[in-house]
Amino acid sequence: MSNTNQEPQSELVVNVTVNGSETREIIPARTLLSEYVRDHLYLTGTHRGCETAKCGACTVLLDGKAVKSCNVLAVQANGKNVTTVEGLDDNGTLSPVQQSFWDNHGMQCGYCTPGFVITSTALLNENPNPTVDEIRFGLAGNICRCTGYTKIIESVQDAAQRINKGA
Amino acid sequence: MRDFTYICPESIDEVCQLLSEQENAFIIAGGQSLLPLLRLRAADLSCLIDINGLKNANYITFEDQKVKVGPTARHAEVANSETVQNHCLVLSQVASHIGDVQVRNRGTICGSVANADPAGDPPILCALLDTEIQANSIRGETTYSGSDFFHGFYATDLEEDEFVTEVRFPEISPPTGVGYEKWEPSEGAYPVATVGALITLEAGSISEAKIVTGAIEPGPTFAEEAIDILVGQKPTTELITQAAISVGENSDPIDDAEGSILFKQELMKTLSKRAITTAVTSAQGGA
Ligand SMILES: Cc1cc2nc3c(=O)[nH]c(=O)nc-3n(C[C@H](O)[C@H](O)[C@H](O)COP(=O)(O)OP(=O)(O)OC[C@H]3O[C@@H](n4cnc5c(N)ncnc54)[C@H](O)[C@@H]3O)c2cc1C
Repeated sequence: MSNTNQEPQSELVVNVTVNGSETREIIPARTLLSEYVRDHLYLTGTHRGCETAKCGACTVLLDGKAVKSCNVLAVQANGKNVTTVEGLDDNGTLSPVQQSFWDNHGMQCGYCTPGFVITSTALLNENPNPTVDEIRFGLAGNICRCTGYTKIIESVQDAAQRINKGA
Repeated sequence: MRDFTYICPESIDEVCQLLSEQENAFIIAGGQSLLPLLRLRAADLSCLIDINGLKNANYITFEDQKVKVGPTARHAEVANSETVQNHCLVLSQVASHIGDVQVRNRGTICGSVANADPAGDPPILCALLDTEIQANSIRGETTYSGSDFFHGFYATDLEEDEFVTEVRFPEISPPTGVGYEKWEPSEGAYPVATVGALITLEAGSISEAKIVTGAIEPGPTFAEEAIDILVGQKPTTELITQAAISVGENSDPIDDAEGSILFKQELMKTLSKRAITTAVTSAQGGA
């Protein structure tokens, strides 16, 4: 939908492709992307943590790029593709990153996990063979308040191996 | 967040028109600084003009010896751009260390420049490199010079009805070199102390020097005393050390939760020595 030559609106129609399905909602302009996926689409895998764009628990993919969904307006995703943690599996088969987090127990309480899994997915898409330093740098926008980073990094290394083996 | 109206125009002219007509209208680019502010209800805003729908605004080009960055070019795109790496490497290095990957995937250079956060990196680089900052309004197009565009906490020369449509960085190559250093309390956090140095050499001596500090003061600040120490001299380790100490001692940091005045002055000395050394090395043609 284009808003060209229109007046500014306080409610808008948005069309967002979320995990491959087209969604269409009428929403207040101020709706955050995190609210859109959780409260409008009931995709509650995206966790809201700090709400100040620091913790990364709410990370989703917007046209393939990791973004903090608490810091993007839902209207800004109009006409775009969004992937949440619910969209990573293939008909119930976990993605390599999901499976690696499961097998390596890349979590403690698990609250930050959806964000880490999404950011790691984007990281490995761009760099399928990251060093430990590159993984650390690439995950700087995600905070695990349990400080379970060692297992998280091992999970990403393991996921990289699986992806490169084509598993 | 309070309610507001929203519009996503496709042309610069429409944005200018809206900025002149709408009351309390704000531009949103990456939203990485604006949305946290709105969430705190810290901005008196009634209309949001989203520039992400602008046609031909997401560009990075090299023309007239300048790297031109369009209004919707993201930090990540600037960091990874070969054009930027080839002609203004420091810009790529700075962009690749702004916040974290999620922030870099949204945030824009033009937005950072307009925002003028005291801890923001692009404003410091713009002051150092005397970047050209192009702004548009219904009154036409204006070009500001980066070295005197910033005036403290979130204050710039931009008029209320203007918006930044391009930032132009000069090509940097020997005998000019640049160094840039910052200290962050943790990876991805806003820096506590930042410094940029630019050195031009002529017959083995420093013919031009610029040092800009940031994050410790309300806006980018030129370290005049240190600049005077460097100009006309040979770039020896002793001279660089003397200049770096001067940057720290003559700086006027804000005392806050991030650090005491003394702490920030000491940081400044160390960072300045590194930045000036890098600038000299790259001015000499080194990496
Ligand atoms: C966790 C986190 C860490 C960060 N760390 C750093 C860091 O280390 N270094 C750093 O430099 N920055 C940092 N940032 C800020 C980031 O760089 C922002 O992208 C930047 O400050 C603003 O750019 P934006 O495009 O997101 O602007 P927005 O948030 O969209 O806008 C910011 C302000 O500028 C105005 N504006 C935006 N674009 C324009 C324009 N073209 N013309 C006129 N006005 C405009 C808006 O109206 C608003 O007032 C961080 C942000 C976060 C959330």
